[in-house]
Amino acid sequence: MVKNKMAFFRKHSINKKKQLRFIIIGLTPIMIYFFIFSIFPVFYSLYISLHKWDIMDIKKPFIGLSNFKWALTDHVFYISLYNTVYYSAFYVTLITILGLLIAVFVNSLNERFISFMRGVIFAPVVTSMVAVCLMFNWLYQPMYGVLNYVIGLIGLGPYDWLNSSKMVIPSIIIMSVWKSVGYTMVIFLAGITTIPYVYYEAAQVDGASKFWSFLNITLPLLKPTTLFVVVTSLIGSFQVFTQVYVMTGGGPGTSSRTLVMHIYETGFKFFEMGRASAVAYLLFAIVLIITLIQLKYLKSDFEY
Amino acid sequence: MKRLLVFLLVFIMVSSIAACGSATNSTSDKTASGAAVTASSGGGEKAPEIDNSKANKPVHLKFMSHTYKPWNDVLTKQAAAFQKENPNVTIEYTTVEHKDLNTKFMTALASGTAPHIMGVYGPWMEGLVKNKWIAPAPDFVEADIKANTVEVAGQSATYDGKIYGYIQHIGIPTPIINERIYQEAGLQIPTTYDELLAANEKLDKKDGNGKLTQAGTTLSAKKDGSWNVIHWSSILKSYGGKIISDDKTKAAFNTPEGLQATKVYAKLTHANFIDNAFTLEKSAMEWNGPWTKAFYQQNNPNLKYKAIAPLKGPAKQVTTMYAWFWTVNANVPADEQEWAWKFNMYISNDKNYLDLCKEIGFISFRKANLEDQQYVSDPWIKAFGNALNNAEIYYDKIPNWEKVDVAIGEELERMNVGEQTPEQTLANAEKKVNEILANK
Repeated sequence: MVKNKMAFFRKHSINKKKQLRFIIIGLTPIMIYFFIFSIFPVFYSLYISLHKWDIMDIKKPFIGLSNFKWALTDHVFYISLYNTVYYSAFYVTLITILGLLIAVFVNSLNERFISFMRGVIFAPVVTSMVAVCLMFNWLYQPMYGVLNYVIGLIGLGPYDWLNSSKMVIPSIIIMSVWKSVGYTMVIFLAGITTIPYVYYEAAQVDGASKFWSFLNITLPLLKPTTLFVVVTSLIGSFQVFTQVYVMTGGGPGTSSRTLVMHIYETGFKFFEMGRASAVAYLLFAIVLIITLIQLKYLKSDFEY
Repeated sequence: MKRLLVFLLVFIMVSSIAACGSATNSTSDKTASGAAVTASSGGGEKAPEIDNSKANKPVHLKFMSHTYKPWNDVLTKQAAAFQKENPNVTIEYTTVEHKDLNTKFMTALASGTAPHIMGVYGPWMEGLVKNKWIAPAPDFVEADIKANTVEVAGQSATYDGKIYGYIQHIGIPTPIINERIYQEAGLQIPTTYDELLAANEKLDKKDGNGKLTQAGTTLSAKKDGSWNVIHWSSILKSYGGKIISDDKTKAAFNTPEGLQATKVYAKLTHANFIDNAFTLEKSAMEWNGPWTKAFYQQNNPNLKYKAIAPLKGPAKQVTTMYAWFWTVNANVPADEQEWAWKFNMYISNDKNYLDLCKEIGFISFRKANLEDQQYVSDPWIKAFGNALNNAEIYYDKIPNWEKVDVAIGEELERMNVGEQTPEQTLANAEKKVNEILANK
């Protein structure tokens, strides 16, 4: 009996060792990759942000927090921050509300249409962002663009979509929402399907309307999904770059210059890597604070 | 377990050392002397004769420029011909999108992977020279440039008395008119800004809703590629203004002349009009470089166009220009540098550069080409060649010109879309430029 027990433990111990070895061998390449391309750059950019790090200059002296001071006193930083917050606020709100409404609508459709509609609405998500930007550049053309023609039929416009400082960010928001709403729809659809149907049946028996059910069953039970959508969309929206780079280059003037565009120009146009890294750290701090606030106030206090 | 961890540690260390080692090798041997290579044929100064001990040493040259397919095709052929003449040399030609090129060079230079030959934009040269990224031309190249090219070619590539490259191409935007539109309107070709503004009053046409359907002139309104600054600076200089003070310490454009010029520029942009309006015959004039001929022919073969002389302003008749240069990486071994200069000299010699000009529509900077009757008798080439006599480099040779350019470009862009007046534009741009110059 004792012998058997010993054999069992020895065998178990060997298996554990084998498992550990397998885990190490399996994880090592990805950990090396993760360290080189994620962990190391994070700390290295912090180091760079404390230096006068001009790519062209061989000397890279330590300058303490001067780059952060420069960023916080530079008016372009505040313009970029304002544009980013403006973009994020509307983008996240629209993408969350529209994603939810479309998901509810698609969910209410006949089984056969659900897959079709899901495919149609999700298609822009898998389309190249640059291709979508170029397409919208044509749609937004002020004199001969399709969009101005269409809204002209109902007596609106024409608007200088991308050439006006007032219209440029709303134009980018419209394009970004069109491109990404399919993603939030899919997330909400997944959330909706996890809500037990008995709740709706009970409400129906009590004579509740569909709108009442939506407000009092769907919405509260989707709170964790909504939190996920809002947090991930907000983090993504603070990093908005491709749309701005391709469609406007940050213009007209600095009207659509966002924080990541500001980082890009500082780092890769003017080659001031120290300053660019400092702005990147400020962006990180802003996103972190907003995310923590969101988690505190939107976190669900119940499970179902 | 321990053995496995030790193995992984050793593996990582060895990989790192190997990577460092290869990087070191690539930049070593800087002191090697290469007493020369094959004399390049095709006219111009002769290169020194070959040192037989090094003649057959295999050399692999990396050569990089921005992407413009017709031009890239010609250079690819010339590189192949050079390799045929010099069998020990192989050339690897890479092209990068125009707007990404500077970033590519700077990151490559910083990481020690930059090519031997780099096609760089004039305003980048100051920083590259100051930080010793590019090499001064050897005597045989300097002699060729001084003896066989127009004065501006040497001047524009000279920093601290040394020449740093061959001109790759000259960007000289001169007015181009749509002959049909001018003829139909019964208008004379304008020679001054006043005449142009008067002509535009007839040529700007709007429909019943006030929508512009034809523009008299469409200058570049956006900051992309510095074009709005280049166009604005032509007018500024014609009106007697300048961008930066002579001592290069402050902005010098917020003056009565600058304001007058900026108001004229604002009238000539039409920022919200369609792209390529001139090619589509919706605009009677644009300012562009000689290479646009190929673009017109490709996109609208029926377009009747003509390049005319730069317009006269109250102060002078001038058009601003820029140049790109073929430069050589200062951090590659000396013998490879020498081969790189040889190749630069080869593609820039009388014959090859003339071939390129004829194929692409560039304006040659070589004296012999400008005396080639067949080449200069073409009215298009003649107009641009004549414009060279009234050309001034638009940028100032300061290390942070790129920032100055972007600052002015952004403010002009804001004015062009109606966000601010010319007065506000100059005041805002002046403030930004002074800040940039103060923080050298």
